[in-house]
Parts: sequence; C-alpha cells; structure tokens
Amino acid sequence: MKVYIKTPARLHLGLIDLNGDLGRIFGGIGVAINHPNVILEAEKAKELAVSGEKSELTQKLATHFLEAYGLKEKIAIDVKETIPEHIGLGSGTQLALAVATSISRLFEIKASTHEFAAVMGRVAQSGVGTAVFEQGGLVVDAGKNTKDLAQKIIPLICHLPFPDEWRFVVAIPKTKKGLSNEAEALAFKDLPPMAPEEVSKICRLTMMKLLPSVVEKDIKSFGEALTQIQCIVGDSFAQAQGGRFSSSPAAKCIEFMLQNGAYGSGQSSWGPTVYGIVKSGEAKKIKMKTQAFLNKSVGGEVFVAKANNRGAIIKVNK
Amino acid sequence: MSVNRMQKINKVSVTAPAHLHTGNFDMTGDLGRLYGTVGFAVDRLLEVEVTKRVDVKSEDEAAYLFASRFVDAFDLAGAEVKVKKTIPKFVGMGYHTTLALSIGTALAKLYNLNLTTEQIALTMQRGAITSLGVHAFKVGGFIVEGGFRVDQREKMIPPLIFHESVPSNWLFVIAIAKEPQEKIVKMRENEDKILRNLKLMPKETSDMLSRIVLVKIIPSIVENDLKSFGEGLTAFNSELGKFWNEYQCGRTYCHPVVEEAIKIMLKRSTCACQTSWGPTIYGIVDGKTEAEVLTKELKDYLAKNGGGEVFYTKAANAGASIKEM
Repeated sequence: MKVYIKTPARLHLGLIDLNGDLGRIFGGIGVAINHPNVILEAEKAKELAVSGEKSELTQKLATHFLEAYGLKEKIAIDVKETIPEHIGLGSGTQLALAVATSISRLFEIKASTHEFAAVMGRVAQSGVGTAVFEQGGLVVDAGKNTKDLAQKIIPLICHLPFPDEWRFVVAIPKTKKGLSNEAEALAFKDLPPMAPEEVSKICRLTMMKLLPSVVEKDIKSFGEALTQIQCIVGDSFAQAQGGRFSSSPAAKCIEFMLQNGAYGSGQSSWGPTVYGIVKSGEAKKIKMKTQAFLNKSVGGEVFVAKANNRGAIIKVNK
Repeated sequence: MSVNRMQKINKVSVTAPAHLHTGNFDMTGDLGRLYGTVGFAVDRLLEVEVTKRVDVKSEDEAAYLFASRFVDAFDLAGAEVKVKKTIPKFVGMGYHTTLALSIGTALAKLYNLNLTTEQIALTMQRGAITSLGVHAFKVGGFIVEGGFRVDQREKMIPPLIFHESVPSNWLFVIAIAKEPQEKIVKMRENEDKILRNLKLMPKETSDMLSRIVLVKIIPSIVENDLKSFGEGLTAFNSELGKFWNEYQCGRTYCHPVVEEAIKIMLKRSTCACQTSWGPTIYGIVDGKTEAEVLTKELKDYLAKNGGGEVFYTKAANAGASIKEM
C-alpha cells in the first residue's frame, strides 16, 4: 500500500486579536493556495528510509509520529516536492501534517487532523495551517483561549470557498527569511499588546467587509479590507520587524502591486513573501511587471497562485 | 420526469421556526455595509397550508397581504392560505418575515417557480435590512449575517457569514411581558421611518461590537462554552440597548417590567437579551431543570406585573420544512 499526499501552501492575511482582553488571543485569517506544494509518498518498509527533499526534517517528523503512537513498524517516505521554509508560506505545518496523515493511513490510525497537528506540535499560534490542510479555502480561526494557552485545538470559526476567478500574485523578494520557531515565539512574547480599538477595527473589517466580499465575490471590497487589515496588523508588528512590513523591498513590492492593478496587497506571516489579489485575466501582466520591478532591486521569485478549495489531496493505492 | 412524478401538487404545507434577535454590529456604514445581524432560530414553529385556487383567500390579514403580493409579482392565479400554527406576533420573534417566507415558499412550490429564499424574501419585501429571518428559515441555528451594501439597500439580502448548530441542552427561556406590548405595536407602525432616519453609531462602537461577536460570541459557541457565550451576548445586546435608548424612553431595555425581568434572568443565566424592540427577552440555560426554575421565577414575576407569557424551548437547528400534500 502506498499513500500519496499533495498539500496546498498557505497565505496569511492577518491576525485578529493581539490584545486578548476578551479572553482570546491571536486568531488568524488565511487562504490555501495551489502552489507551491508538499508532495510525498509513503509506504511500509523494512527500514525507516526518507528520500527526496528535506529528508532530514521529514525523518525527524516521521520518527516523532511513530513514537507518539507507539508504532514499531518502519516506513519509507519519498518527498517529491516541498514548500520553501520560513518565507511565510506555512511549510512547517503542511509537511508535518502530510507526514502524520500519510503514516496514519498506512497503519489505520483514526484521529482528526486537529489531533495530528497537536501531536506534531503545530498549534503554537494558529489553527489556520491545519484548516488549510483539511479543507482549503479561506479560513478564520478563533485564536487561543487565554485561560488555556496550552490549548491543543484552536477552533475554526469560518470557512468559505475562495472565488475561483481570483488569483494571488505572490512575490518572494530575496531578503532575509522571516521569523520562525523560537525566534517567532520570542517576538510574540515581546510584542506590546495591540490597543483594543485597533483590534476592534480589524474585527469590523473582517465581519463587515472581508467575509461578505468573499461570499459576494466582490474583489474590490475584498482588496480594500485586506490592505487595511494588513496595515493595522503590520503597524503592531513594527517593533518586531522594524517597520510595517518585514523589509523595505517587501514594503515596496506591496506598494508596487497596489499601484499596478492589485485590488489589495499584504505580507504573509513574517514575510518575506508578499502578495496581491487580482482578477485571473490580469494576473499574468501584473506578475510580469512585479517580476521586472523585483529584478531591479533585490531580485526574487514571482508566481501566480489560485486558491485551493479542497485542502490536501490524499490518495491511497492498495 | 416520469409520468407518476408529473402529478400536480395542489396543496403544500410549510413549517418554519421563529427567531430571536441579539442585535446589529455595524450601525455606522462607513465600510460600505450596514447592520450585520446576530440571532437564533428557535423551536417555536409557524405552519401554513397553502392550496391552489383561482384567487387569493385567507382569514389572516397578513397572510392575505403576503399571498397577494407574491401572486401579483409572478402573475399567478391564486391560493388559499391557512395559518395552522402561529408564533407570537409583534413581540420581536419574526412573525411577519417567517409568515411571508413560508407563504412565498409554498406558492413557489405550487406553481413550480424555481426561486431562492432570497428571491422570495425580496419579492415579499422582508429580510433586506436584517436577514436573520431569511437565514433562520433556510438553515436555522445560530446565525451571523454580514449586512447589506449601502448602495443596494432593499435590493439585496444580507449574506450569511457564520452559522453553527446550538447544542440541544442549551435551552432558551423566553419571556414576553404584556405591559409594554401596546406601545411597541404602535411604535412598530413607524419602524420603517425610524430605521430610515436612524442616528449613526460612532465608528468605535461598531468596531467594539464587531469584536465582541468575532472574538467572544462566535468562538464560545464553537467551543460549547455557554458561560462565555452568554456573557458575550449580554454585553453585545446591552450595548445596543444603550444605543437605541432614545426609542426606549432612555432605557437600555424597552420597559421597567422588562428591565426587572432581565435582572431576574441574569441571576440564572449569563445571557439575558431583548430581541429587537422587545418586549420579548430571552436567557439561555443548560438543561431542563435550570430552564424550569427560571421559567417559573419569570412567570411569578410577570403574573404580578401585568401578565405575559413565559416558556422555554431549544433552538431550531434546521430551517423550514416543506411538505407536498
């Protein structure tokens, strides 16, 4: 038996509550995109063997999962594609869940993706990555209950299919990588709490503009809400990242996309990945312009991504 | 379609739940939308039986009006509407919207019109300012809708943005004081005018209300945390009561009897809310025993204060049901 898994990547659109005085903290908005992907194949084997990309990390993850469920059996995993690390595309959660899910299918371990995320230690701040893996689309998580910061399951509060005719132009400027793991945890710890008034603005933008515009497929309103949320969130992270966005090239790229036809633009997580939301017919043109713009400064990769509205693809070949 | 299934339908029955308003979170409108409503469908049902005929007939005045409106809009022959089961009228439980949607849905079925509930609502001129009733009819449960676009006022139905089933052990204790009813019925005659000339809410208040919904109320129902859920609902509803107080003689709730009933409710439930203009208020408690105790306390109180109806019920976690007869 072989298990094949292909995951989406994740764009982070913003955090909701960085204050916490109503009893919940963080809460995030994200979208699953169809590129780049984690693609791997797993099967039972005589020895633990991991081949392909990020094999060392994958082996660690696999060993951890096998131990967590007390499995003595061995497996072979071939990692065919991965999402680049620490650039804001949610690679860690997607790889961990792909490994956990593939092994669980091989040994018929029945548990929810939420449980796997907790076992794999992927719920430090957010439930967005788990939701993206499980069902794709646009997702909003509820954040952590401040009474239980070790909470294992961060509930999802909204899941909407993302309009098929919209595209993201994703740009990854060649600058320093974003924060992750310990550095990220430290930055969150040192962050001054966001003023309740600012949190409240984000909440109303989400409820009264961002979410209805997805339902109504109104890209103009969606873009405006996204850009505004990004500015409020970015400003509250200014202390940790040295400005509204993670670097000057990232900030300039966001500005450039907005001036060249993107309806909204922002940074994913700690960056350096930035993106613009565009209509499918305009995606190619804006991508090329943005690439030319980046080439003149620090360089980097630009691509067009579509939303993934189904989550990870899991195929079991007997 | 097979010959058997071509049988003509002559009679349709529609059963639909009442609803309870918690409030609106954006009365500012500067983001391009207005209202945005939170509320529940509850298991108190309205039932209409609609039979095809050549003209419109009903003993119920409102039913006659809605049936005529729909028949005229689609140039149909007619129908007789019997209201078999009803929900309390003019007390903030959505009687008129639920009646209109039930009749429209039945007529659409009888005359084979392929319409969404939204289209039926627009035809009936109900549910375009707040669509709680439309979504209660469609899906039931706990509902949050995202308001209408200010440039599409009364031309669109606000979309559902969050929906969740209410746990079956969460019971709504509903108290309808009699004392304020006459005044509220009168006020409702001017409701359209009031809504058209409503003062705008400061941005900060709409922001704060949105946050209570997104960060407190919604996560609490997802986590089955009734205490926190009720706290959020009460905070949200009382903030709105303060905002509307000029229509309630300066009070957060519609009448002193209701104010006192809210206090009684808060001793047993973290939730105590007035629905719409009142006088209906509701609390949510965990389980039958709690519900019976609170129901009795409120009954005793109202008996001595002008009378009224008190009962408890679960949420309606499904929308309307349609039966061909």
